[in-house]
Amino acid sequence: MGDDSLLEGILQVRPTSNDPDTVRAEAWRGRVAAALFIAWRNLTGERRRWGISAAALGIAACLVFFLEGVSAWITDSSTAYVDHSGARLFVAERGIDDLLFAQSSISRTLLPRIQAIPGVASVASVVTVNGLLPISGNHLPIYVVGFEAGGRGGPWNLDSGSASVSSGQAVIDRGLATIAGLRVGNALQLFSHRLTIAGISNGTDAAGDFLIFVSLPLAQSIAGQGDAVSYALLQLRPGAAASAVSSAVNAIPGVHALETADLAANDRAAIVDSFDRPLQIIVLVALVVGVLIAAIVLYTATVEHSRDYAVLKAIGAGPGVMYGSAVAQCVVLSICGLLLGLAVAAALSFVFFTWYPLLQSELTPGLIGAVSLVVLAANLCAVLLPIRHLRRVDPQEVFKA
Amino acid sequence: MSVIVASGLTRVFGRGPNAVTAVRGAGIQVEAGEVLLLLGPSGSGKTTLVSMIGGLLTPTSGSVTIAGRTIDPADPSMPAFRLRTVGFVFQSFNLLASLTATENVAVPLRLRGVPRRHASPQAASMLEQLGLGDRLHLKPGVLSGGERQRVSLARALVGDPRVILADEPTASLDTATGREAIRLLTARARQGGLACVVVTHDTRLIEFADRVLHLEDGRILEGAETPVPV
Repeated sequence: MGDDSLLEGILQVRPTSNDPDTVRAEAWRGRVAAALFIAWRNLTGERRRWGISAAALGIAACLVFFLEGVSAWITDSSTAYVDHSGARLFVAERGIDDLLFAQSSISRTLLPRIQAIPGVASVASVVTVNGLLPISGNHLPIYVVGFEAGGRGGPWNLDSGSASVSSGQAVIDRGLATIAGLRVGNALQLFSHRLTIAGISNGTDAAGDFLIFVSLPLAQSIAGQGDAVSYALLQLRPGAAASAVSSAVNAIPGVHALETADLAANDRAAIVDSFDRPLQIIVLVALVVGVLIAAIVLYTATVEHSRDYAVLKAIGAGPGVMYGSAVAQCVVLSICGLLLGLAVAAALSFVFFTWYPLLQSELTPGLIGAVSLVVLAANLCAVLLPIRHLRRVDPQEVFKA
Repeated sequence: MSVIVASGLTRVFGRGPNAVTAVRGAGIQVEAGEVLLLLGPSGSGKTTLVSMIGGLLTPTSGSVTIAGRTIDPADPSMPAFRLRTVGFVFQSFNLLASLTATENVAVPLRLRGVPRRHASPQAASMLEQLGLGDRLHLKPGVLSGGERQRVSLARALVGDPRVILADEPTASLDTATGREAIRLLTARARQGGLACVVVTHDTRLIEFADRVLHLEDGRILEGAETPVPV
């Protein structure tokens, strides 16, 4: 090959445009592309290592996704009954401020007085009982709700069968039916009562407490508190002030009124204190483990490529390209981990929902987006370590044989 | 006007009684199209000197200008200037193992912001000019030493620099391959009007140089300019 043709080839290397704006835009795009390209080649050059790293990050991300979904499910479902009760006010035994954790008892003789309060449209009474149901080798947590025939406080979302129950019948939650293998028409042994399943409701559990809807007299019999009821569900007339009705209820000895939203908030707070806070600690640990994995992987990869980065520095790569490459690797690794983690979490969520609904994970688009952003932001902290190393890479390394 | 002007370059490593002076008061000038051979034994300060000229190492004292611009490694715009102006050729090639030959050569262009659609053909063209047309898509691991050095040379030349700094460019090559590499390098320097500094301990390269300076214990020896055979 002649030297003339060599020179000819070299002289072809010229900028593609003379317009300053075009040149600047192309240069910026080119540098970003260079950073991404180097990052991509570093990743795909060691596929096994990066695959294992992405899997490890995926496990951490899966834990975060799944547990945050569990947290969302616990929080949402803990107030499902209150939210769907249709009542504006709940009347409970004085001193009882929640639905799920306390056993309220109101004398039935007070109900006509409550009904007579100006502004009250209707009063429905319910009897609730917490318990454990030994079934199919499991002790499943249940929440029995006795409601008046034709009244409010019964099941609100039916999968199959009937929503109304006569004495000796029950509507059970889908989760309980799934775990116990029960269908409409099957028999259910509820404590000392043998019931027939009249219907199966959906979304009627309270953070794993499966709701069983029965007739009011049956619930009273289970509760063993005579003719008393647990709560009175009040609907108000249009224009009636809840505060005025509450004041009137509070004037009746032994009871007090709670706005539905307040009762829900109290239940939610109790659930958060009992279950959600420990869950969030585990989520935090998973997040930290994920960041540490990302930091170790990115740091070791950067250290191993120190020579390459020294070459780039010597040639004239600016900090933007160097750091951009590290950040790009971090983002790609994090996205791979996130997608893997989300896929496994979604699969786990489906498995639990379908076969073991005692524990569920609500992976909504909003939650997925929020968790992804948090995980990505946390993982970006991991890139500080490699960037610190890159700052210290000595371009003179290139002269070492 | 000289493309490279270095004067009074001194570099001291360490402090106090442990201080070592690697280069002491070195001054050189290289014209466009000139090939200067810096000849010296191992430890004579050749690499330190070329590092300072290339803006990779800050001199303890003295100054360097390339194409009229003072070289200051602490200047944030220095990498961009080096990218446009200086091409490096290294003893150990320093190719990026995860990139193909074409991609390696395209790196300086990509760093300058040349889009891939333009950079890749330019890099391939350069490799073809250097006789590596059938090695474009191979990674450095499967290339011979001579091929790797030609890729390294292509990378140094592809950005159309004003200066080539070559550090022991033939040290990792056999005699014939080394001669071919230095022949290509010096031919390019002369034809492209590049100022070329070749640092070596190999006296057999003298015949490729326009001028030779001897370096010993960090000093350029006075009156030690070797006549170059015509």
